[in-house]
Amino acid sequence: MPKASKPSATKKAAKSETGKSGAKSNVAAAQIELPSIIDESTVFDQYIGKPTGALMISCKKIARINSAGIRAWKGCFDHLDKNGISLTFVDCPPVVLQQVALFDNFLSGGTISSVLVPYLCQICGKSFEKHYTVSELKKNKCDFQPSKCDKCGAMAEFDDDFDIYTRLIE
Amino acid sequence: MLILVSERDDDIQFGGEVATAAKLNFKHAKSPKEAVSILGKAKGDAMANAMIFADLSQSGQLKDFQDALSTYIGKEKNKVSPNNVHFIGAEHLSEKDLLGCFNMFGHFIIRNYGDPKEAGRHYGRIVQGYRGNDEIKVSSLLSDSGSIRIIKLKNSTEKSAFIDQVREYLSNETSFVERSIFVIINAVDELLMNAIYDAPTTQSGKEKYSMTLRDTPIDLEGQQSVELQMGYDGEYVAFTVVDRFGSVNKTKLLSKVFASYMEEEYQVDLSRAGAGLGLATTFRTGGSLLIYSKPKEKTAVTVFFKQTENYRDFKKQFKFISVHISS
Repeated sequence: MPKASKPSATKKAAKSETGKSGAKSNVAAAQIELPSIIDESTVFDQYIGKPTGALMISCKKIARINSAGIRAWKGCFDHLDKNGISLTFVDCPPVVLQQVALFDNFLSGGTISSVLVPYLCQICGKSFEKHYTVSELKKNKCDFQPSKCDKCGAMAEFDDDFDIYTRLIE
Repeated sequence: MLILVSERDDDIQFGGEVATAAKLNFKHAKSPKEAVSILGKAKGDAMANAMIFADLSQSGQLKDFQDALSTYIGKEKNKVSPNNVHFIGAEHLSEKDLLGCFNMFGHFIIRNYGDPKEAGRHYGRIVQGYRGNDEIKVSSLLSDSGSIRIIKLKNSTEKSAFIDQVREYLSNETSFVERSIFVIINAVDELLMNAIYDAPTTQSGKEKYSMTLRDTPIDLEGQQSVELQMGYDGEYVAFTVVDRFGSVNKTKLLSKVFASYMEEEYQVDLSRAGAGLGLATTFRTGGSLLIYSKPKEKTAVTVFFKQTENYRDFKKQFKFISVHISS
């Protein structure tokens, strides 16, 4: 089980690809990274601190979110949204997109800038993720072509529910 | 006896296999009235134990069914228990569609059978496993080849270590793909959380830990003990979590499972420490649930997952939610 990593101490200035409702593009944002497990023990304040203006949240490590984690997530990001913080979520793995598909306004008014799309090689069983920006998804209409497995060289297939991606580009 | 009310071929195949696996006589009825007529001809135990499976995916079918059955119940009061009535419906069932059914049905089957016969064998084995039993055991819900492990928690702080053990077990002893394993361990996490923090009630029936943060250490001794059984038969993995309170409220539970959080935004309820989402997310991510409760004595909640070669099939697997309240 991957353990929750320590909060990233440094908050880098970053440019968000798309701001809230597309209205706040190119806002310099503090960047943070969430841990692999979002559950009852996740203290969001530890990761987020006290942002002002805009926040870019990297979700790439997240492997699972339990119901207590959903509650903590909503509590945290709803509060930031109410305080005028612009939220941009980057490198969102399927587990985050699944919550977006299940819960209205899971992102508390924020936007997704990029996603990690899962692939599975049926020959050797290796699973891996490919990075796509939402702009790329719009351009290719979520047409996830087979991708070469770097372990055995066979072509790995997209392994998820299309709906959770297509709703991002609707 | 198993009476199927449906005109669909896939339901007929499914119902036939359920009956075979559960060792029940299969009767097919084309309408609720015909089902009630079959029921009326049964005698004694055959009538009391008859299982009714009904396709209610078309509008109007539910009303016909309710009318036919309530007329029958009116004549033969207490002869039909919700524990014996199985709703078969389409994929996108919602609380709105089902609210009127919660008292009448104990079981909700989502018609994404894949292979109806295979789904029927699985469901029939489960029906056979709990029918007439006062003790739910994972071993009776899986096929004979299943291997079983039982673990007892002493304190809630052991939960994380348990989840690690479950992950290790799934990685080493099954062929689930990694993403499916994360979904399964999340489901086990939810079942344990419910048993530790949501099941305990006071003598007067009040929730003991409704305001207790979910990372607060709780001793799990005596009545508060929580047991986890895990089993795998090469095709399905099942986890049963048992608590000693028997505090399930069926209507409340089903309302949460079938609530649409896309129509009404989920808001954090500050008057409660729990999220109230555990079983709903478990069910929506592919798990089937069997909830067996003996009021004020115990509840056993079992989650089932079928092993698939990829996550896409895993997510679309056949599923159901069964709530069996023992008298």
